Amino acid sequence: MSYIDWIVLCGFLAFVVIYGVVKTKGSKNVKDYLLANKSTPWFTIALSIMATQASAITFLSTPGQAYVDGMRFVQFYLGLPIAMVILSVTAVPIYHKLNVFTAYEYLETRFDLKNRALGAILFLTQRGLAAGFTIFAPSLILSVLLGWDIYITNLVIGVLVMIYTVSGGTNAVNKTHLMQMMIIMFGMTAAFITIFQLLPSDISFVDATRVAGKMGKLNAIDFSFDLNNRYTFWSGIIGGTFLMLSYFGTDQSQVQRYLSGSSVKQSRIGLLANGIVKVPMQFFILFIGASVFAFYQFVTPPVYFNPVDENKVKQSEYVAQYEELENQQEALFAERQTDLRSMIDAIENDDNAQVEILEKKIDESKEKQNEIREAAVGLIKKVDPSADGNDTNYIFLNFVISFLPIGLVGLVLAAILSASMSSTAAELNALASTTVIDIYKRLIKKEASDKHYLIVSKLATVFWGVYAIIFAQFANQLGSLIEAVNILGSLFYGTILGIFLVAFYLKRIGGTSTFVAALIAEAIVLLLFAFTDIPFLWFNLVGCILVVIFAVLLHPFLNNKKSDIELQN
Amino acid sequence: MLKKLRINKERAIALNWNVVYSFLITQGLLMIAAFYWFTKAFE
Repeated sequence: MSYIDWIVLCGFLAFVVIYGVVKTKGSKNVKDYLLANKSTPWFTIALSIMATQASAITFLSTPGQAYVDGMRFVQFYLGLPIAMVILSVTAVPIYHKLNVFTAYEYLETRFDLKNRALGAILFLTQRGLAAGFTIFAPSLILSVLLGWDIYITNLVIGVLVMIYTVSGGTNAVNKTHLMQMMIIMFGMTAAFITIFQLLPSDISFVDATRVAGKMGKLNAIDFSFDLNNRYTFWSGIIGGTFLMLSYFGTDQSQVQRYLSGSSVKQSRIGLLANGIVKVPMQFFILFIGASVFAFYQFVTPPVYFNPVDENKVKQSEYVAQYEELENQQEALFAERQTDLRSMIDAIENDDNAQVEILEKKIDESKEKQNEIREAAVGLIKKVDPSADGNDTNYIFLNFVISFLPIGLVGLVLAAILSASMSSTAAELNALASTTVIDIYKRLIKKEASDKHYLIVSKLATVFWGVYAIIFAQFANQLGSLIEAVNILGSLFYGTILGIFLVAFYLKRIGGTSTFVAALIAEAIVLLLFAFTDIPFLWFNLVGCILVVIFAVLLHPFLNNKKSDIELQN
Repeated sequence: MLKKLRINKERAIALNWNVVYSFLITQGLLMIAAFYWFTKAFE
């Protein structure tokens, strides 16, 4: 990386931290600190919601996912606009009317304390672990770039986020999100344009896209109903809707973004704007990944995308074998160039018979490439048995470092780090809110001054920052990060959503039956995860439906007074 | 008169939201159609 890249990267990071601290210092009370004094306009809410969801994992792992598996991952987001409409109609007015600090506070108003505590604890468990992932992802970049120990990089990035989040609370989180989203979109667009400028002069944008399509990387929609297929239209539209309902309606890191809105209208428009922009944005990021794939059909890619693991092999006794594999791959790609160009001509001339023949030939070449790759992974594991053999997360990063011009590398890295910092900040902010409002203020110290709760809120932010950093140290061996985070979420979200659905729509059901139903449902979901191969998106639906069914079934036996009070309302 | 105006205003606001929600759902459906076309066009 050049000095200019370093200046761009460090300059932006320093600017965000200083801006976050200076612009938002001096929160007078807890409402100011945790809800930005309910004064946020809709565009800040929309960008903040997007920045919270779009972590560095989104920008590192999603293009890699498209490179390896095609664009079908976009279907995961299809339920999002539906969820935004449902939440705008139901949750937003209820939360605003009750003037709550956290989503779980509503559960006590509707049910009782134990449901509030259960919702808060499920959130703290799940989100506390996920915050570890969002710190780990950019640390990975720095460790690859600088050869630093990943433990140290986790610490550095975690502390940077903590500085402005602890200092300015929700206001700092929202304001820095605005800038971070701008740099993210600018950086990703610049990367996208550069990919096509780097293609050989005889290959156009459309040619490269056609090649990616023929190799199965532009499979955005799949209408087949297959429970063993992780991403289909149906799993996205059904499972995805439930996951998004749960994430945006009950996850405090998101609820806190639109709770800070100045009115119901502002919060609604913020959510709906997210519904309009989010899916095309994910499509765009996946398309960048597919474009990197197309680029690497004309330019020979590295055998393995993690440069740290690759260097280890090159400094070991297996260097000759590894170089032999590199030579084989080079020869294979030189051979493939003629076939690719012939295929582009055949597609242009609508010569389907020729296209099929060439497709088969290229498929055979790809199989040979896979064999070379597997042999390389074998060597990497011989040198370092703890290496996980999965380089999905390094594909985009490796491309950025190797091919982007000076200045742009720093800019894209600033975008990726911004994304990570924005998500982590929102998570720490929400974890602190839930800890203080739902646990500390409700169960430990009910009466204290506002200043006391303000200090405790800041201490809670520090606590969760440290907790996330510690968890980040163990996140190295979990394969594709974006999937790991979503799997983790899906194990808990269904149950939480079930509790909220009963609260919103089944007014006759009381707190105790809902609480017991939630415990049973969570146990069943965890058992299903451990002993079956059901794709994770379905757990959102299963958990949610189980809570509703058990709550209805148990209601006659476990009735309590709270439901009667609610009935009268 | 005032009451009538208030009701009309409330209806207008309610209608606005329905238009917004319908727009969003329509946009979603169009997007799915566009993605499907994209998948088939480059298959």
